[in-house]
Amino acid sequence: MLNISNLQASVEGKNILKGLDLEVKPGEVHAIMGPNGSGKSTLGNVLAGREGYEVTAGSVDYLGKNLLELDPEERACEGVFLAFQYPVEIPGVNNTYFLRAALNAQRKYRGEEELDSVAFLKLVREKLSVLHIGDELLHRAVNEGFSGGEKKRNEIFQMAVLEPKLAILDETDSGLDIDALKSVAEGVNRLRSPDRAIILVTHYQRLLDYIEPDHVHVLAGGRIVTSGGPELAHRLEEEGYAWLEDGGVAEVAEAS
Amino acid sequence: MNHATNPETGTDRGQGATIAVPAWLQDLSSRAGERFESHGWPHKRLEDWKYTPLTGLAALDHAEAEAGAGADLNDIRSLDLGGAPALGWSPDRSPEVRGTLPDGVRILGLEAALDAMGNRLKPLLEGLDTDAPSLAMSALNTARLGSSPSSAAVVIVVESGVDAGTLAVEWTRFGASNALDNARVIVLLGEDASLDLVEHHAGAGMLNMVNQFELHRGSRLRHARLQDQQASSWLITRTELFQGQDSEFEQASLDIGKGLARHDLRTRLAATGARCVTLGAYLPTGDAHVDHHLDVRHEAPGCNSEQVFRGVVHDRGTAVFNGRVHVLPGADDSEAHQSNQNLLLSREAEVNTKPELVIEADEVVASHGATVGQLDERAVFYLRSRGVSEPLARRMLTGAFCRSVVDAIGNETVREALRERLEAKLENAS
Repeated sequence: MLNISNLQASVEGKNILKGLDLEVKPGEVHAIMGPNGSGKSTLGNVLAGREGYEVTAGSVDYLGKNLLELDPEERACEGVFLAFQYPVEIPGVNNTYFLRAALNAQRKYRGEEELDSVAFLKLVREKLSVLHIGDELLHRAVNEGFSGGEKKRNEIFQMAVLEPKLAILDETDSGLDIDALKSVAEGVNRLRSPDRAIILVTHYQRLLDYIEPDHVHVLAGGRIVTSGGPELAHRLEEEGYAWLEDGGVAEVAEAS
Repeated sequence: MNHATNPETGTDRGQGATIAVPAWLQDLSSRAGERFESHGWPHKRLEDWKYTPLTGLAALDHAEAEAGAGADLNDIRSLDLGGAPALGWSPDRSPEVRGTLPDGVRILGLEAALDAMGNRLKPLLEGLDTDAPSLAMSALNTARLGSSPSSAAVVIVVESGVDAGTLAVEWTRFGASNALDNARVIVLLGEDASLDLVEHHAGAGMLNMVNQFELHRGSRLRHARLQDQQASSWLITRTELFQGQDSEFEQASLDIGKGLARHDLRTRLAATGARCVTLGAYLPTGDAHVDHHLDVRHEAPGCNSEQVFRGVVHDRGTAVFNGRVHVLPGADDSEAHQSNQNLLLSREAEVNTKPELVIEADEVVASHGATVGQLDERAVFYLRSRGVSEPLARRMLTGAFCRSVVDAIGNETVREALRERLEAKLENAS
């Protein structure tokens, strides 16, 4: 589904990603972990097409298309979804109105009929009940005055409505208390399916207690330095990221 | 007609149907004419007219006026106000009312009004301040009072206790010549009376308009104004307001036209409990220019004023906001809030904003703020990342920015009618 090869990217002239390789297949959940400043958020932003992130080398193939050539909205219409680390507050734009405009833009792109407000509301209520989210957020402006937890839940809710093929969750666990974390994780788990891939970008292992990944990668210095199964996350939790610098990386790198 | 209308002789359209006016009004008009002569057209050395000099009016040549006369009147749609009676007005005909006015509501032309209530009108007409050079346009307006149909005046009287409902005033200007039309609208609201007055300015040409509103105790006037005039058109308005005890005034201006618009409002909150809310959304595109000058005077204690203005400026558009709120000594326990926010959507767009708050009383709650900025690109990206196209994302954000002003309009029918025009403008502007 997603094939990232030797991806190099810079922000404001500073090289952040320095040759990143990653392959993701449908149905898989990948966790990308790493210390602060390793390039985790840059990866999410590059994949979503944010301006200011310059790709200097490498390629990203997504379902046979060159993802990097597409505008952000085209990527979304092709099924890529980024759950933001810091969802933006947009006063004056109603959450329901926005989400319907987004869904209909995607449906139109795919040649499907647009949903009228009745059909849309029905869909939205189904998703809300599955995610155990109250419907009050429908009436509010996008993220305006939302608590940290509400913002993250709103991201998961949008993801549930838009049903992406590839979801990238950028530090969705950051700033959440344990209850909010559990409920966000539950939302993500409900969206796991054989034809949907999920990339979890996270600093901490604790999210992975609730969402079991198929693969865990460690990003450091702009590259994936080691990969493994869920056990790798536990090792990071116990030993921190320091062991990577103490030759652990070299060891793994040589072995691979 | 190679020159602009001579302010001395007024419109030279030849209609000349001068009405019979009493001697005091003739005197008033001729004094005002002299005053205008000595003031001259408002020019940029006057602080109040720095960004909107009207000296161009005097110099405007025929060719430019003709360009504006390409008015496609088929494009003009009346506002849908649920069948409210309408006062139609254009330079070529005298004001006429379509529909039925409720009992207790009268609309009089100047001549009839002078007959019926000359004693009441005299102090009002004489009371309009024309002394300062910055009030030259008011002087010109007074000089033209009653001189021809194109300088018409109407008096709207609502008896005490009467709810007059909604009255539309349609100003369709054809711009067939480079004449400057003058108009005066006087509204007298009796105690506990109420009226929704909706002005619609469309077409082309030039209009210099003075509103004089008197709100007696417990009355309510909601004044909405849609300015959707064509390029090369000029609309100059001054609203002079007197507010009695517990009276309520709401003015909502939506400026989406392509020409020049200048709006002055001066209100006197003269007795306890009066409330004045002014709302404005302006979206100059092309070479349009919109200028709001407010002068809100808290003269009595316990009054309340609020100004909310939002501007979205495209292309080479320019906007000016000058909001002066003066809480005079003794006007204790007043509340005054002001907010002016602007979005600049092009490199050449320009905004000049100046809040002025002068407080000379005690126990006053006041706030003011002015901002000029651009769309939040993080928000644009957020919307696009969900599949919304870039133009739609920008439109959603600009709409969100200025829609709140229209949402605050008290009368639902008026609100919906203006909202529809705002949405259409947002669609076309992006």
